[in-house]
Amino acid sequence: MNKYQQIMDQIEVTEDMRSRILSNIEERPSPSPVVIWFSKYGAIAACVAVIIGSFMIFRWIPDRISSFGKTEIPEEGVVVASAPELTEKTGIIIKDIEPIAEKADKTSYQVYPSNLVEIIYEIDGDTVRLRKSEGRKELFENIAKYPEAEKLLFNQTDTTIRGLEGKYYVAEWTDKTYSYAMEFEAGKSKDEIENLVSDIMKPSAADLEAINSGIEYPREDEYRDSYEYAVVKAPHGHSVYGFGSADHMGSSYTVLDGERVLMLADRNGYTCVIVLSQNKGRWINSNYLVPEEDAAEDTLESELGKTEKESESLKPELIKPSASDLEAINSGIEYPREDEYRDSYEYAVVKAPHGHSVYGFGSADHMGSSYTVLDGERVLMLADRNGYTCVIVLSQNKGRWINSNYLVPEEDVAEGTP
Amino acid sequence: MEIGEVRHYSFFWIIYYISQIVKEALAVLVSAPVGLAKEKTTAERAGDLFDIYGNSIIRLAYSYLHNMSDAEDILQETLIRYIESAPVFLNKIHEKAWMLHVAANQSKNRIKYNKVRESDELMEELVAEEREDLAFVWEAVKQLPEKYREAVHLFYQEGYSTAEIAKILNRKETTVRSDLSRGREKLKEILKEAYDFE
Repeated sequence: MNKYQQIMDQIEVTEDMRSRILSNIEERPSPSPVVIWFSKYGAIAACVAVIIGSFMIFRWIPDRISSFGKTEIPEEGVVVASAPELTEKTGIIIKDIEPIAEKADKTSYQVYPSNLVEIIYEIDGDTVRLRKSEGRKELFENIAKYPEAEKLLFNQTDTTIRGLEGKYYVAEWTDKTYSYAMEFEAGKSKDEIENLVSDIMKPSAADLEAINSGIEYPREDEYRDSYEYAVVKAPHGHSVYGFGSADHMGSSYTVLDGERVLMLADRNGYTCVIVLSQNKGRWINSNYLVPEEDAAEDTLESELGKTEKESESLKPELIKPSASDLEAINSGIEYPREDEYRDSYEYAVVKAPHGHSVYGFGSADHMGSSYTVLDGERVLMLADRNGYTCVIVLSQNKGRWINSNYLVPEEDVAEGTP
Repeated sequence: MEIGEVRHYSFFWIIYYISQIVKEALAVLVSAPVGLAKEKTTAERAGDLFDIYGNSIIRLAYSYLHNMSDAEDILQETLIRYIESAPVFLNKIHEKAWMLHVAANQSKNRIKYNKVRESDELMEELVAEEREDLAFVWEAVKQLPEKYREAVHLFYQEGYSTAEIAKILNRKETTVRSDLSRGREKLKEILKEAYDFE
């Protein structure tokens, strides 16, 4: 926490302030008292009518309400055409279970008055139901007929599966907001259920909104058709930056090498991901993300004896920062203008005239702030202006403007070395 | 497990539907924010907003006005503005940005058109707690021109990106970047070793 945040933490709303403000708000004159009178009395009358009506009907038909309250499922739902329509009608985000939907002979979608949504798949005489509703509740009745209940962790989701004689017929789980349940008429194995639960709980585009930390959401057209897990490959084996936006690199967060992420969308060489360990949305340079399958293959290949040279040849592409990275790692330096950026970035080595150090400036034009950059430092050259080159000093991870005469391209240094 | 097994709930749902229809009809007829037309009273909604955004708003207002009484007034005015205009947002992020936008404008209007009180309770508190280091930083931030200070506050306190700050303050992003950069430079000049706005 920086000092400014420490200062601001001293300012807090108090209970006294709360009651003072709320009382002032409550006491301020109402803009339309006549309408308020009507609405108050209209509302009360409506409530009384509904309560009396309900009471009378329940009194007259006692046998019909004997088991009221045991289930969330009403007699009939409203049939709609698709999963997005379910979402549109209820606000509950639900999507098809792709592995099942692809094979289903018939799929139906229903919404019930208690804001419960259901998708039913019929496949070769078997029926699979997925239900979702807000809050914590049981979504299937009669689950007691399955005596074997087991609690398992499926891809970070605590799931209860219920079954009989080694086959499981119901799976139930919840997240912070919703209850989910699936029923399989023909029964399924643990592994099959795990795959289905993982597929359903794979974060959707809209989930990003819930777990974001003020990041910019991708535009609709930027979302991928399907989301994949990836592993962060930090160029120096430590960490990379996760940004709040693909375009404006203002806020940045550290994402460690090896972190598992879910890739959701892409823009300008950046990928919008959910960092699973942090449960946060971030934009990360796409070069630093390796699809999980490829990461596994890479490991296998290196185990099989990939040569050092081959691995080395892959490095430069992976570690090349983008122009916009400069913004994230700057210390208040002046950014190059768009037309000043080089078409491709190259590494260089600082050659200090007296063999000790050179100045790295905050700007190519105004030399006010200066920082020491040692002879032999490795830098990445990004842009040029008036005989100065804007570089990232790799050991400091800072942007600086350095006199171009003091920079020797890395290849030349290597050639000149005996 | 067929849905038809729970047929005996049909009468409950008839009543449920009737109550929903009556409720919606009243909501259409009645525009005042009370009764069945709205689920929460004005005070309850204001209380919710206060609990969620109170600290962010009062801190932003304080960063402009430098005294608690005026900052509290801004918090109250912002909540009233929200309740009166009942804006609709896609999510909480947008809602918060709207609240801060209103609070910033109200604060600037107050400086422009009203006399602002001269107490600085925050400085007094920092001095009383013998936090000279923080008092020094706060004094430096107070000296910044308003446009630099608001960018610094939203960036370092609220963690907004320059693009988001530009939207909240209704300015160009390049202007915000430049204000932020100049604000940093000025702070660096004043604070020297104590500077930590990286």
